Amino acid sequence: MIRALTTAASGLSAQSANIERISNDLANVNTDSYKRGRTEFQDLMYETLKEPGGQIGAGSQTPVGIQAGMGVKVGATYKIFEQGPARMTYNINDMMIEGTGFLPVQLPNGEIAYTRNGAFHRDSQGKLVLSNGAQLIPQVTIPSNALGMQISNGGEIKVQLPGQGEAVIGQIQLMNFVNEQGLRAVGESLYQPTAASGQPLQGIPGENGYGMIQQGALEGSNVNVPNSMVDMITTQRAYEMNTKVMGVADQMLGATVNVK
Amino acid sequence: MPIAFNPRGGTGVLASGIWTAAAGASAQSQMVDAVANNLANTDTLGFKKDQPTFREYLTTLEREHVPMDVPRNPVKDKDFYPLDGRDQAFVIADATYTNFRQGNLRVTHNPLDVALDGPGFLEVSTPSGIRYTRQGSLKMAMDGRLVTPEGYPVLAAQPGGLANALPAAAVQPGQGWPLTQGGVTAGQGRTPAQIAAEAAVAQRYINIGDKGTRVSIGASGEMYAGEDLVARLSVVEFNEPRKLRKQGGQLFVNPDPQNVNVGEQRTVMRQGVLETSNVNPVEEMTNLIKANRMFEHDLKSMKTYGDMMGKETDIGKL
Repeated sequence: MIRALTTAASGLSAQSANIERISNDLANVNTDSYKRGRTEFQDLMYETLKEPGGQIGAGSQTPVGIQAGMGVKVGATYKIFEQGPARMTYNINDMMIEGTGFLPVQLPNGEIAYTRNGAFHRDSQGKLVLSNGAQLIPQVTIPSNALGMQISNGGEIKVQLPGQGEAVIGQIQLMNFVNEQGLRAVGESLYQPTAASGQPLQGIPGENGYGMIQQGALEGSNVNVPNSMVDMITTQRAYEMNTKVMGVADQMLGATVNVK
Repeated sequence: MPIAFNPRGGTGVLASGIWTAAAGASAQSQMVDAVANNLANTDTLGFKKDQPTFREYLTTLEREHVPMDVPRNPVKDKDFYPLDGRDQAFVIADATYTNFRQGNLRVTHNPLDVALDGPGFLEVSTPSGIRYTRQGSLKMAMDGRLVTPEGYPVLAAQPGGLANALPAAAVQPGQGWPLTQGGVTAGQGRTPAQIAAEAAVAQRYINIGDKGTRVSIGASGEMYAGEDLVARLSVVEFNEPRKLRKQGGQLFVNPDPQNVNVGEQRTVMRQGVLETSNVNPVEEMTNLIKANRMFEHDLKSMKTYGDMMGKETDIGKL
């Protein structure tokens, strides 16, 4: 019964990790380019009390053995990089990636990070920056006298300069990762590569399977609210059932103590 | 705390009766352990529930067969029951068997999620040999290799089909697949056949390169990255799935190479779908209540036996 107690406890901690993930998803249901998470469970090791297939006489074997499980653990938590819904903003500084790829940005502390959040602003010098001050790489500076800005699907940034006509002032680069689920989420819609994700592979939007750039739109959160609610219900009930098992194990232990 | 019980324990009729009750309590507590593990894994992908089975354990069977001298002595009734009043039917948890019923399928639309519709298993290579799993949430490693969430490479089908999958020299009954990649230093304590078998396994790793989000998987396991056929996922079916041993992490060990079904396969692959746990919470809660009550009854009879033994000693005081 001590095993049942600790097994139920492992269930409780796994389910509460899942609730934490669901609450984070639901809290970010309106966060642009937020990617929902997934918690994956794995059963723990088994204690083999009796080996299946053991010899019990000439030519005959036990068909099944006794294996006692030890519970469950959280095997992995990672992001699902499914495309979020497009949200038209008609803001010329906004861009959305349609398809795969990340925009590289340089954080104020000099580090490089990758994001799918294309809600850019112009700083005092005309550079394209995110709301947290991270600059788009390669750096794009919009001349102060520029009239309008067009970003093509291929990521070419054009402006109208008075008296000079149209001028190309930059080209957006996209980065892909072999294993994007291996990226480390660092908050503020930013991701950093790890040994699991592999190094970023640079590409031009719209070529070789890289996504296209859509100006004047933002990618919404890919949290699916009905699914998250269902997850929440099943997780809560699973949690309750594990507490029930704990209660039963405790009752049985108490009853055993009180036999005499 | 499994209550230890000794079938030969006790001194008299009453004393051995109390062990029958203790055996019952012990069996029920094993039942609760199994229920606890099943309920802890209600959300574990590809988990298969365990069910303990109980068996009557007769002390009669512990005695050796004694030939009787029939011709010389008249046969008495008690010669046929030489048990000294100790014919007890204990219960023991005889086995746990894994229920391989298909779990529910959940649609995820994730291209690297695969559900196996049918009795098959995916083949993965772990440091301690080939293991089988129905956990279909696959990942890509940084070098583009298709792996399980724990990082074990998923294997492609054998070029010549499963009939060629049993290298006669490398497989001995009862040992399973003697294949190792890590852990064991090359050449130490392994036959050339084993080393060759390991190299054959390494050739079956699946590499998708950087085409991760454009993978499509057909019903019989063909994996396409873009338009290129990369590999066919190896799906193995077993003649007797109950012979498989659980290892944790939803991995199964096959102890008997002859158990592999080399005939026609019935398993269909479904991309973008995951198989959830096959634990039925209603059933488990029912089992839990039942085990709890049975346990209480067993304790009650233990207590009654204890009280009766107390009364036995009182008789002398009259």
